[in-house]
Amino acid sequence: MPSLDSETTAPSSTPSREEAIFSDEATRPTTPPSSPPGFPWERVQQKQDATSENAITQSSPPRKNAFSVLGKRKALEDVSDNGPPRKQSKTIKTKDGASRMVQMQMSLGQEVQKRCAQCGMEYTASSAEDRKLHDKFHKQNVEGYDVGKDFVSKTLQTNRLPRKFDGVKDGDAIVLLDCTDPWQRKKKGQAVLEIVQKELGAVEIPEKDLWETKGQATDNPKFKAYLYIRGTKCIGFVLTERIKEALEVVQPEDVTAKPSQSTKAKTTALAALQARKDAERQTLLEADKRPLQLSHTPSPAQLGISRIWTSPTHRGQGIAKCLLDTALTHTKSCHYFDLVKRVELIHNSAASPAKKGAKKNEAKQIYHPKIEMKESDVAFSQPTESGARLARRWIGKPYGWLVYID
Amino acid sequence: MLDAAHRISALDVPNAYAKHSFASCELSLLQIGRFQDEPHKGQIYFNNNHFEHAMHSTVLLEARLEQASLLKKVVDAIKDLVQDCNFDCNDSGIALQAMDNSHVALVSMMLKSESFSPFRCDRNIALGINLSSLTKVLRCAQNEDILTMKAEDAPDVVNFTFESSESDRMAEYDIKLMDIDQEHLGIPETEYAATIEMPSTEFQRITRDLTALSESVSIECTKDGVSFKCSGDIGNGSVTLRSHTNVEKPEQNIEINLSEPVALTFSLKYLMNFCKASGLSSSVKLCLSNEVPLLVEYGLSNNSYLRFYLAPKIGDEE
Repeated sequence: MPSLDSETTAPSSTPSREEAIFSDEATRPTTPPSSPPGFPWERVQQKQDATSENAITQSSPPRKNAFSVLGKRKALEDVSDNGPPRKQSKTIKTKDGASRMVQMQMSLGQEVQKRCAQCGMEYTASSAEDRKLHDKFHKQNVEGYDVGKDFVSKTLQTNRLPRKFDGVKDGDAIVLLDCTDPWQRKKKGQAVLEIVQKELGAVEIPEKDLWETKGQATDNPKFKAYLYIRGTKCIGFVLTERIKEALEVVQPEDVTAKPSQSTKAKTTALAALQARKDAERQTLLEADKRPLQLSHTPSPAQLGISRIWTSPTHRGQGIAKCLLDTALTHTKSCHYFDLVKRVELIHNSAASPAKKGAKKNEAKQIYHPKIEMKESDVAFSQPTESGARLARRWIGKPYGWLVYID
Repeated sequence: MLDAAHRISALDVPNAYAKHSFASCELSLLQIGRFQDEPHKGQIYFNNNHFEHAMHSTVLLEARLEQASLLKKVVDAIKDLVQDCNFDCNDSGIALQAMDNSHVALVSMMLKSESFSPFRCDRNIALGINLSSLTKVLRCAQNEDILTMKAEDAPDVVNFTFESSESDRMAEYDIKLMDIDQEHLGIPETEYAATIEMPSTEFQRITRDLTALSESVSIECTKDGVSFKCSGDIGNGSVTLRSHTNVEKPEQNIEINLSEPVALTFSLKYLMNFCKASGLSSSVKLCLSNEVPLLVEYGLSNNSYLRFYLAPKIGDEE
């Protein structure tokens, strides 16, 4: 029963994010975490080295300056992890005089902060702790987030709709996560979302909004996340949102449909088809280069793609398209179930004549999901460049698809 | 004259030979040895006014070692300190310099061109090699095999050939190269207060013995001699060496040169790592100065060397 009211209240549950804007184009494809910028003396040292290099080499070098260089820094852990780890008793560290020694590091003006070319993280290369952090981030970034081996098999079982779908390859799975999942699973979804947000440069969605259950139909929550799992890694992710309206992407005025030159020189049907396909591809490519222009009047929409992401090493395999297809079919069946439920409700309320009028009205007002949902009913929240490319390819037209402001 | 020569591509060398009478031009080997401007078109050699076009025209580096054991031992000694590094090749030889991950130790290797026979390197080139991959490949070579290292211009692999000195067996391996972003660090020339030369086995033994007791060793050098001291949980130990000359076995000599006394403490774990190079040379040279990294040098024949630098440990004043 409470599910009925929820329809009206739910959209207003996220007023704080309404004005949120995120830049479409991040300066870097990813904004990885970085370790604190070294140690002040290192920077200074480097500068000094640069300026005093000549001075030192010319004047007979005072011995101390030769490797002046020796910087003191307490190793965060045992000094190196190249060798096998050695056990050490704690008593040595505290009591013994000799063990109160601190390992120096060499500093010949080498780079202290290192930036990984692949994942872009900046870290202090000489610190074992930092390197470990980087390794973790790097792996996550390159291979996808590790959800654990039980994640797919422990997908919530419901008697209504499936929550597990097939991926593009054998053994891959797409798993649905929503507010009905236990918190451990939600947490994993949250972790993936965090990676995705970072890479998209997107505004954070507050946790309480994401898994909002209050006053919502648990069968059809506002946010749904679909995780694409290959092996134990989550390599694709889509977060969908129930929306009502969106804006159409319009064709910029200066782009007019070119008169097809091929009409005259048509020889065979095959050639014509080929020509048309080429032309379509051309317009798609051209559209990709232009900024999106939106219409001013909203059009109705059903499903909002809030965030969509594929792990950088797994792109070009149709994972995002597969996720979109899955989200669409699943939403369709959700809507169907909704309808069935509502019809039942109306029947029930019809049995108790006192409330009859009110309930019917409410149902009429609130209820409008289309069962016949198509790709064109899906809207994308401000897409990135690659997001727009995906949307165009998936919907199959360069203009006329929907974008919504979240 | 040079222009004419430049226009000759590797393919139409015979034609060019027919058209231009090079004999009349009296080209000398000095004038055009090779075309460095056109490295992709191969190397053309002029010998006694007739030129031959080498089949492996793009080979840029070719280094032949009479005994594979040299490279095997060098790589074995440094592979635990450094994972990936650049082998910088130029006409003077092959050099390597790398700092370990924690910036505590530094390896510097120089294999002079005289250590190879023959050695050829037409242009400076850095070969980024993963040392564990290199170890794997070098394990396929026997100590007495003849090793040839080859790289082409703009290479993506480095080629190793192992020829058996006894049989006609020849093995060939390629290792994929990596793009290693490595800065070349200038190691300052340092005058050391103390220089100790001793048998490498002796140094290895001291290091091994003291490792059992502690994780750091203090090396104290006075005019009386050099002592290695350590103290740990179970107790303490010290080994003292004095200058010593053995006429019959000069490799047993211990030589200490001292300008001022020094005392420094070092991590034994790193020294153990350095000692893996003991097989390369019968003697090792330790150079110390206060507040300066220790230099451990294994001298090889023909002025080639393998050097390790190690930053000391100092007392925590806080």
